[in-house]
Amino acid sequence: MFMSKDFWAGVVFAVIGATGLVQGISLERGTASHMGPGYFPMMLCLAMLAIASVLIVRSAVVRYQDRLSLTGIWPLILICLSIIAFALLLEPAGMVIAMPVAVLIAGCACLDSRRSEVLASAIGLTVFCIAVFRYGLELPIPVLPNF
Amino acid sequence: MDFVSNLWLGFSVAALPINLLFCFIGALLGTLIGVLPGIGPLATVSMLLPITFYLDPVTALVMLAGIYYGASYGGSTTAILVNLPGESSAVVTCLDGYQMARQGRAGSALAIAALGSLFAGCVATLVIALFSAPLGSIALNFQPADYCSLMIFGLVASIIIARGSTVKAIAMVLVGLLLGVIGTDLNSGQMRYTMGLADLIDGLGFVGVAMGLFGIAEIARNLEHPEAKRSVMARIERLWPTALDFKRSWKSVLRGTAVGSALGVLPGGGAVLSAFAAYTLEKKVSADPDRFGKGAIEGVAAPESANNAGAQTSFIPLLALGIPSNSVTALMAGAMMIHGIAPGPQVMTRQPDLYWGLIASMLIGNLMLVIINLPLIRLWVQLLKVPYRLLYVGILCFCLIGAYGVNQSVFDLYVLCLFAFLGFILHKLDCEPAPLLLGLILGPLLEENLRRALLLSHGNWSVFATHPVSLFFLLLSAVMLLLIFLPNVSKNRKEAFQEAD
Repeated sequence: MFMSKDFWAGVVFAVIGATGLVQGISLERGTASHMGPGYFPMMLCLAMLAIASVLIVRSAVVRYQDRLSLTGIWPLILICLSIIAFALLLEPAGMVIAMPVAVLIAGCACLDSRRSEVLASAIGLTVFCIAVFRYGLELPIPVLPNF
Repeated sequence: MDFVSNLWLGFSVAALPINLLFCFIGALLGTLIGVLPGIGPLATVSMLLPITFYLDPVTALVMLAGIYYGASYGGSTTAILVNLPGESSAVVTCLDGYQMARQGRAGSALAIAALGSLFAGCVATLVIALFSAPLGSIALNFQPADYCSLMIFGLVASIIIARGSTVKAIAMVLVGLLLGVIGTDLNSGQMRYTMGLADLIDGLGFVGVAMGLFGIAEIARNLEHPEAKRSVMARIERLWPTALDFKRSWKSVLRGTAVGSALGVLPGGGAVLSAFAAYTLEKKVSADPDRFGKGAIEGVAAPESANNAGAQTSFIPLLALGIPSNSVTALMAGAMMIHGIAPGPQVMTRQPDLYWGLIASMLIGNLMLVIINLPLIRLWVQLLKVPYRLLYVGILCFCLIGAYGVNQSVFDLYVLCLFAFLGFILHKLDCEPAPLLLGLILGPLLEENLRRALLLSHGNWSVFATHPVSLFFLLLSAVMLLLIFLPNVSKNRKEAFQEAD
């Protein structure tokens, strides 16, 4: 039961529903004819908790179920790290630094990656993106470090 | 005549050089991502949403629509030549298309696929032009209660087409609706779930959510499996169908177009469903069903016409009712909102240039697609040689710039990261992200109409059962939900999805 997809899906939805209830406790609920800001979210959270309990109960009762496997989480973590690095670096250091760093981190996510190719795409993509997005489409994105 | 003058207005808008240019860019991009396996229209549209912010609303929508129907053209190329669906809507095309290619009839298959799609696209455009206007004028008389029930119907449909467990899909809709609540409450001005973050006052950025759930999470999933060896690419001998192929396929094109146009309109319908239904129908009506799977031209013509027709008519619910019926049209609704246009029947009357311009551009776009696809086919084939390890870093970079570009806010990058992670985990738990996205888009509208309906009825919930339109949609939703819990239907549904994998 504790390894099944149903169980963990139930847990995820229960956490979201409970968080919604707790965070929304201070919102005024009102009545059906004069709904306050808290009425609709509370309905949703209660429904979500109900579904979560169905999933959890089902995972305890049903014998054979799909087991949760987290293979492939490494590429995901590296890609998330690369997004965070880009977010941290972009405004202080500009695209010239943030983008190559992001590409280098993300490049490690693929087993077939070759060092030379990752390096080349880090440079190539940065130049391409600055040319197209900053100068072509004129998006206001910081390019150079801002000291 | 009204219809003709409206269409004339549409063409005068769509033929503006800037709109022609972006229609072409959209069609070109659509073909590109259609050819490439591993990136679909959903990821592309979400990637480009922020950029459209800097365009005129018409131009933006013309381009985004081009990507969607362009992808169903491009997907067939990969399906026929390498037996890989470049696009999920081309899954069925693999069956007979690749067999034809192995017999040296690749050119014939490609040409029939493109011509069938062109025909279907033109017919579907006329269907949109003819039907969305009357449908929209009915919808203008909808009461808040009717709107509520219509949206519930749309959400239920998204639950039904989600693969995997129905219970989880319902939960995903609820999560989406709850995420839609975040921000300032319109009626009272109170902050809800903003956790003191100023960036959340205007609500959760929907671009970051969509891009994370679909774009980035998809990259992570593709990286999980080492790149599959691609089967040998078939050679293209001649690019024109034989007389026999023409004779055999024209009826299939007609049937496919009809099936696709009808199924595209249904909530939850669209390119994928249409292609499957058309193939099944073709096999049923054929005098010689044994030829299917062994290179029957009908098995290429029908699903290819159907997926293009379905992709286009799925715009009808969005344009006429303001209710997106699948994830791509949900993103289009998001694009309209970015431009400050509330999707709905009033768009037609208040912004006829946008409405008819978009429709007319679809006709032009379909013509462009045949030109992009047939003569340039050898160029597209070269693209298939680009390995995924080079592709995904590029996709990631565009997502990063896109997410930041909407509001020039670093906060949106963190939203992107969070939802990429969430999207991956939810996928591992067999929860599909499409219902969540639909919930997020419809959430604020649903809440507003719910509150208004109950205010008008003095808190009496029976208002949803006494309004005939509302009752109709609620009953329809209930029947659909009941049906999928029936053991027999749920078994069939499971099989249908397995075939799709």
